[in-house]
Amino acid sequence: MRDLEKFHPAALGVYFVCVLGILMFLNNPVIIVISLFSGAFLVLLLKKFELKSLVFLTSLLLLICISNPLVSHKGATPLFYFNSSPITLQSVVYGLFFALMLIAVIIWCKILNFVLGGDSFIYLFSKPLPKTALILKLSLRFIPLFKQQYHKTKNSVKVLGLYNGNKKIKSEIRVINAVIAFMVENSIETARAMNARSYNNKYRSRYRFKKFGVYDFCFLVLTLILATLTVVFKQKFYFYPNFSEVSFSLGYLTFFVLAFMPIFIVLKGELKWKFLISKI
Amino acid sequence: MEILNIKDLSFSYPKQDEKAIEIADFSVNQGDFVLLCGKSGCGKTTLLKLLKKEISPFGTLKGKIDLNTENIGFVFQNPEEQIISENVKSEFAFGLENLKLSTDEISLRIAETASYLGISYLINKKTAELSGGEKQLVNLGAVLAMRPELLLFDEPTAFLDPICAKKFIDLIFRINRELGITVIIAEHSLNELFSLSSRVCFLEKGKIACYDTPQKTAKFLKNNEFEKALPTSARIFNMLDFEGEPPLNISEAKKFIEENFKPDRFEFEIEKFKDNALEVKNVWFRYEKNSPDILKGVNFELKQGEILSILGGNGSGKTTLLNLLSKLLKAYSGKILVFGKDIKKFGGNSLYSENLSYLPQNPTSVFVSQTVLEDFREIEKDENVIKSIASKFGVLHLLARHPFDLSGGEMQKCALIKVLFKKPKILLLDEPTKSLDAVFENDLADILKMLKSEGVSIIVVTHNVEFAATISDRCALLFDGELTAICEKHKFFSQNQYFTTASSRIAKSVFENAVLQKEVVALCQKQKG
Amino acid sequence: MKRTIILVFILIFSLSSCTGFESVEEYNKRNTTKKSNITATVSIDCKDVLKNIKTLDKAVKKIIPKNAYFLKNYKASVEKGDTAYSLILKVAKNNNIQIDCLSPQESSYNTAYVKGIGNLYEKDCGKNSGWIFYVNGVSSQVGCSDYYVKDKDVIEFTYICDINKIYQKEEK
Repeated sequence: MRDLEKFHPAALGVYFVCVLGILMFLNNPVIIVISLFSGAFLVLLLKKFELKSLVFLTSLLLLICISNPLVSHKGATPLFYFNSSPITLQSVVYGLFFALMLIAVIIWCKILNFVLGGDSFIYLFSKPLPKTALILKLSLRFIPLFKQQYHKTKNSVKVLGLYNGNKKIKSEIRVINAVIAFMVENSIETARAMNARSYNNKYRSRYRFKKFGVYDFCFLVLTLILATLTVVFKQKFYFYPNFSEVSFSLGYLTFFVLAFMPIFIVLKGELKWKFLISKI
Repeated sequence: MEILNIKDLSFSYPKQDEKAIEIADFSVNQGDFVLLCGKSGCGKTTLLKLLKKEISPFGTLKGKIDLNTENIGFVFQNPEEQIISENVKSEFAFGLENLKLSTDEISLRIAETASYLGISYLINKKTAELSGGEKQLVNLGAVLAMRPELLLFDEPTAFLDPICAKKFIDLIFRINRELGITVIIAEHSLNELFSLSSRVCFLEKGKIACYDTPQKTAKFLKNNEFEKALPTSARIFNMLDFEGEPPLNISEAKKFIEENFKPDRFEFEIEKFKDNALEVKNVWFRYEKNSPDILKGVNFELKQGEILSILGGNGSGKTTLLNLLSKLLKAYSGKILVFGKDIKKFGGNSLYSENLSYLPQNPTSVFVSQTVLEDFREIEKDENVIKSIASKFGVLHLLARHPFDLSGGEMQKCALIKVLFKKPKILLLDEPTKSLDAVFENDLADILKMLKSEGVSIIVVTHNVEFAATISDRCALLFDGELTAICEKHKFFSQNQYFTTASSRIAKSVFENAVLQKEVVALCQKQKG
Repeated sequence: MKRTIILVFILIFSLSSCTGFESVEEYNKRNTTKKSNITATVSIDCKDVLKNIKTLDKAVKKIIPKNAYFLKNYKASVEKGDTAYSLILKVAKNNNIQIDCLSPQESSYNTAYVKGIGNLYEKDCGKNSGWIFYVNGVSSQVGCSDYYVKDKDVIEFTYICDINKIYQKEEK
């Protein structure tokens, strides 16, 4: 068993497609809650938790919960009336679960970004679409460069007294203009360096730094089986006009296992290390 | 065995009549270490680029370039512009993928090259996190992994600080000696390179003026304007009109002084300054709550009309200090007073009008327009004033050019002028001599001295010990978050063993307090009579 | 910047919500109909659904009344200037039937649009299903807020499962 990041990008890619697909298209509160918990737990385990994002997510939740009832008056149980339109329990709850679904998607995307970061993601494309992969690679390199140059230019512009706090948009545009000019210059030089390293359009080999092993195969097969079972045994949930009943279904169990697979991998790895170290 | 032979080569850029290169005869043997030197614009870069067909410039080419190998590696000036990937391993793999190697072969070469260069600890890092020196090392590694037989370097240390530059040059030298790879390197800072090269080629206006051993070239350059770029050891010798060949490194020069001169001391005057332009009192700073302190109680004053140099190694916090002084960052403890007024009380942009100006490390961030003239017009509305100041500094011919088309030295000058249009009384410079050749460095020193005579107080943050010694009144060392050893420059440099000028290291045992070249020469000439 | 956005939000929200809050009881107590001499007969039914029970969305199966009539032959008092739209709103409220519609200002057809009555919404029985209304047995040519109710009119709001079939019928 190895670290989550060390799995083959193709296996991980399929996993995330399955989880996110089920989460977004099945629209079932039980599934949403399971994804939310497993996603949040995984983020904590991977130590990628940030307080700032929690604030953002809570405000998103509140925003959607408040705006959905104002827009949709469907539902059999009005709680109170606002401007002669009913604010119903069903639309509040629908808004709540919709927001939770969005939050779960955001959390899982964060995990995806961590696990399938940068190079691994590009690696997925390098065999089928090598030129696209190369362009992606270059873009990834340019993003942090853009950020750095933006800060430097902003500081320079400030010190020259040209950054007006009142005309913020104009000043920002000036900064961004300069940064774009810099990026264009930089890209010409990068092209020249690529040429100097004998870059040619025709045939290039592909550096396969991740091999598809037994663990990856098992992971992939397990993912596909669980995902298929979840979809087959899905329970359609209705919000309007009344909530449909939620009963135990095999689909929920298989999705639970699917969602907790990465947690299991991470935990097992940590426990193993602790055990090995304690033996020293 | 010859690896390169050039006969009757001439090259001119498109739409230009004058020839950029005109070389009758130039040959390099395998295993040679050739140094190309010359003023900015003499044709070094053009010659190097012509040797690699993938990056040859467009233009009219006549004559023959005979290369005995196809496998040529090229390392450019700017470490940032050569990076292609987001992480180091990919960077190495890029060139190897271009060579159509298999995965196993690529892994082997990456491992081998990284270990040889001592950069294995960088292999899993992201390129955005590397320092300039580390980036240039990664570039070198990526090129070296392709196993070239000839390595071309175009001013590779221009953007590096002297300590990194020295390490880089040592590495190139090792590669040449241990692996037998031929090296042709064009450089400005010649202090270390001169003694290491097997041959030195001096270019003047596209023609080879001298192509010989380092000693003979040093003697040849004695009466040339480019003499300023020679290592201090050779310069001192040349200025004294001795017979024989000049010493090329410090130990030889030290022996030369000890054998020929008697102990003496250099008398200097300490200039008195009155009022404070800047006061920094017990300033503490860190970037985030949980990160370590970068500045731990920095205390100093900048007097009006003085030039203060702050030296220190990489990451010691020098740029952070300048950011604090120009109100771009806030210290969490301590006070900064500008002309007696607390810096926090300067509202809006009032600090930057006629008070304080800051020239950052990379001058590209200063320019936002299409031409230099437009950039200047952003700050100074009166065109006559612009033109008069431009001619005063000798950049009138650059006004119509695009800022990014300028050479390093020209860009630095124009950036400085743009900042000066704000008529600051305090000027902060961050590494102003990066990528400048000796002639421009001299120019810059003259400009700063002129500003000082007009009453401007200047802080220069630099690694360049020689430059600091030339222009400053006082010097200070930033180490472990504190500013230590603030004192007059002669005292500062003569009490240091390592962080001191070449002249000081050469003459220390014989001449007391002699820190600058001209001081050593003056004492020598006094004795010579 | 963030603070100002939040403050603006709070301001807009509080201003707009100063009016309009009522609890369920208060709403139901509000009786705005005045007695008048003009009457009309109103019916709300979904007979078409019973014929197409297979295409009905499972969620709404339970709210379909047994005889497919939400309201049968109700005599409503018509005030001066009442349209079919204002009438059905009053009638539904008085009989505790849920109704959800877009007022002429909100609707994109410039006439009122009925989205759902009795928790039976448009598109619940196939993608061409929805509410239409008949006046005296003839399907209306105008929207319900453009038809002014006359004395002794018979207004029927019917849920149909395929609007195309109605159009075809009319063409014939």
